[in-house]
Amino acid sequence: MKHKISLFFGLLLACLALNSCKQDLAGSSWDVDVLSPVITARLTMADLLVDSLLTADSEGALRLKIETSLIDFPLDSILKIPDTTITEAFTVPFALNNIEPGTDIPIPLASETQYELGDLALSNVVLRTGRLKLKVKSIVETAIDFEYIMPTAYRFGTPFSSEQTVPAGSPTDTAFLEVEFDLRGYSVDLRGVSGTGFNTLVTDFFIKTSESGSTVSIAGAPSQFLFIEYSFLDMVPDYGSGYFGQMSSNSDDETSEIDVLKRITEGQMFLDSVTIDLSIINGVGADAKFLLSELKSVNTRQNTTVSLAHEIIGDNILLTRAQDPTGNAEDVIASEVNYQLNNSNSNLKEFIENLPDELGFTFGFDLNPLGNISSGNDFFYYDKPFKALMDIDIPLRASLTNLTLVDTVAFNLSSSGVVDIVNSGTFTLVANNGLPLEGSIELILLDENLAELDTLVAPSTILAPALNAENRVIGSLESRLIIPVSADVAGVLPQTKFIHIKAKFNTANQPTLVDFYDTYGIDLKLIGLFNLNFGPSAL
Amino acid sequence: MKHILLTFLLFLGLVASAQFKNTVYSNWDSGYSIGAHSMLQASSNAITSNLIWNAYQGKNLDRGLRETVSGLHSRRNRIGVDLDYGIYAKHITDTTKGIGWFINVADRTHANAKYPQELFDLAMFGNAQYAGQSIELSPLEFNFLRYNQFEIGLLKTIYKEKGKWNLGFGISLLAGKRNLQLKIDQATLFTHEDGEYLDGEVHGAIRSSSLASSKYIDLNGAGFSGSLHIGYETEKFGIRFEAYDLGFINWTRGLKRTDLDSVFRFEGAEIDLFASDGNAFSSINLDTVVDGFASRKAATPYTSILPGRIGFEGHYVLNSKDWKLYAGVQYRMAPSYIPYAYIGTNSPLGKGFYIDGRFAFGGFGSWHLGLEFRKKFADKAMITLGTRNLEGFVLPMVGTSQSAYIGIAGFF
Repeated sequence: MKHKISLFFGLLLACLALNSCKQDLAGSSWDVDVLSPVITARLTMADLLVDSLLTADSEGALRLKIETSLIDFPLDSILKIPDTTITEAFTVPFALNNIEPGTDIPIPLASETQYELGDLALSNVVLRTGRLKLKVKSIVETAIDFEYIMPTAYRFGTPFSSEQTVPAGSPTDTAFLEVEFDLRGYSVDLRGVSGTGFNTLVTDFFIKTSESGSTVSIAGAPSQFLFIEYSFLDMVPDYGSGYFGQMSSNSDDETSEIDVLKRITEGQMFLDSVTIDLSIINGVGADAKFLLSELKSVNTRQNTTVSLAHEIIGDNILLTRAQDPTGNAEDVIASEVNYQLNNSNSNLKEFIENLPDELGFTFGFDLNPLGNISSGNDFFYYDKPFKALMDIDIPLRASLTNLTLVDTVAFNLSSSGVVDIVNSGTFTLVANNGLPLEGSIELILLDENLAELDTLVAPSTILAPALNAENRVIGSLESRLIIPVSADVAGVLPQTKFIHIKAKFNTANQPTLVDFYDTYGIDLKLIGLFNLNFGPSAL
Repeated sequence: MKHILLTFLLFLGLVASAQFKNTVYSNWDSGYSIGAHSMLQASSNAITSNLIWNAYQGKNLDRGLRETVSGLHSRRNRIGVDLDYGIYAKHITDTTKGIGWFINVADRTHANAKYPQELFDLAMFGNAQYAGQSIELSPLEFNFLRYNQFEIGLLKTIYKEKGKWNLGFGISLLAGKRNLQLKIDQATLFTHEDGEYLDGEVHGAIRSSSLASSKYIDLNGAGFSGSLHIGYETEKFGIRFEAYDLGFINWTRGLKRTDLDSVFRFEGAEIDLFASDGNAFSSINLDTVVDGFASRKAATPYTSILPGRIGFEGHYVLNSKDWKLYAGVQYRMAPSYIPYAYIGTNSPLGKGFYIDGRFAFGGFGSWHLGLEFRKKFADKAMITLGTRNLEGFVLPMVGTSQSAYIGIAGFF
């Protein structure tokens, strides 16, 4: 009987094994030939120009509008309040014996601290950021209650005040307390107790023995029983008033990146016209003098530089102080000087045709060049700095010669496993070109270290459509590029993490300038005819 | 384990047979018995054993083999797979007055499908061959279910002057584990001659319950089934009517439903070549492509009918050595199944061995050759090995069905 039962369960195990092997099917595979569109994309001028604002006029002609900040000069970099730490040690003139709990201890009530800020004489600041770090040490043998007050620092109409307790200490075991306060938003009157000073902070300090403590004695001077260290840290004013002094600042060979044309690596672009509206704005309540010594168009890819030639270069510009009629930053009336640079008064066309990816400039800045003529009523708001803005307007009427755009895009299909099953095949790129451009495109496969793996598309040409007498595109022209994908190329697709795109453009009817319209674009469709290794594991 | 199993199945192929009865109702000798049984069957009207074995072993399916199989397809095609195993115990009284009983616990998996040839060719060769053409991919139906069966029943033998009646019936509680129902009433695919677009149309639905379940017993659905056996036999002949696995499962947990009801055109995944995140291909999402023609709906409980069997068989004893000739017909409650008709013979070989062979046509496949060996050990135990599809093993290039089964029983 036992033998039969063993046989029975042996067979049962065999039955279960039969059920457990069905997943072996997953490894099978076979080759299939797939013909399918893969991706589509529409490329317009907006895709080619980064961070730009393309606008169209009533006829649809495109204009490239670039607003960029040439100089942004926040005065907190000049009107800087340094971190300051002040230490005080307290004594009583004679010994205090048997002090009952809750007894006030007589120490000097108020103190004034004047900050050393050079020529800067501030009467009032509103803090954008700032911290007060308070450290208190005590050797009194009972807890000490204290109140720290800044009577001229207000937030929401209430002066700064903090009540704390230092635990009981002893001459051999100093008690310690450290607290920190956020001073953001406090309006601080820095005129001192007299109301006529500057850079002066008033503080009050009251101490008494704790109500819940014991009766103690405090030795008289020179013995010190309480030590206070207070630090003002990270003080950045949101608003300041007073006299800002006569300050000068010079910047040599500063650069400002201009991204709009950064994808263009080589070639030439000839424009019809360029206009730059340059605004120099003084939002500070102090007179300023500005000298732009040099402004350069820097093309770092081709290592070419064009310096701007215009009357503004080398000319001292005096900007009067801004007005603050209401005491609100929003209502500040800035002082502003505007210049328009164009083809006729400058070499601006050459400046832009250099295809800059950087602007280089050298300038000088003087604050209060005429001295304290405001009787200490200079002001500034953090959000109303001194700045220079450029508003570049380029009608897209141009001739491009071998203008080359380069970009590297991530290729995340390699992580999906889709490309693993490609044996070989052919891509057909169908390009319906509605841009007045002849294009040449090259695609290179890169690995995760941006090292070249293989060339997917050798330079191939997409023809330009025909233009009418007004140099407008009559209709799209279809080009078909056959892109063989050999087994070798298919083999590197799984390692491909990036695709390097290089596109070269020439406008039709060269050297005629052609207008670009908002209806222009190129429709791309990639069709694949591929032999794939298909099977359950590919799904 | 895979190699052991393949060897085992190959062995079964060499000793195949044609046993064709419900395990519990297959033996009416009185007394107590216990047994275990396992059966694997895959039948098709067109997919050959060569293709299945190559796929099963994870091999590459060469084009010649696939073309041969494609040539066997017709406009309408069918496939069915069963994997059953279980244990049972039963008692049949040896008197006229007593009533016997049985219990049967089984794990059953069944799948069936019907499909057009173009779907097979599309999957096996791709769509490039259909450039400029529209192909019909419907009607398409696929059903899969797996469940546990807990069956109890009664057995009764009524002795008459010239023979005996064998009567049995059972009722089963079913614990549904997994289910998938796919039904596509209409589906077409047009491939533009240059591949510029794919046009598709699909109308159908997919319903499923707990497809990811891997528990041995998982109550994602519940149902009942019944079985019935009525047989009469004399020394010279016998007839029997048998029906089993007639029932249903109502699926209530882990439900999903997707309606496919759309006409769509695919012109490639739209990408932003100079995407702001620097990843031009991040916008490619196959889910969005699928979502274009599939809409997920709130799922509600639903019922699936079991692929139960109804059969009728008669036999005639040809000589005193118990050489029998038998014939019968069977039908299953499954889409695309066609009546399965068979004729066969069996005979003792001496020393407790028996052999059984038969020819059949129908079911999920086409023609079938069955072969079975049995060995009895002094009326105390019996082992059965067989196949219903010898052709799948000896003529794998043309055989389109494969099966193997094993059973062991002890009598005391």
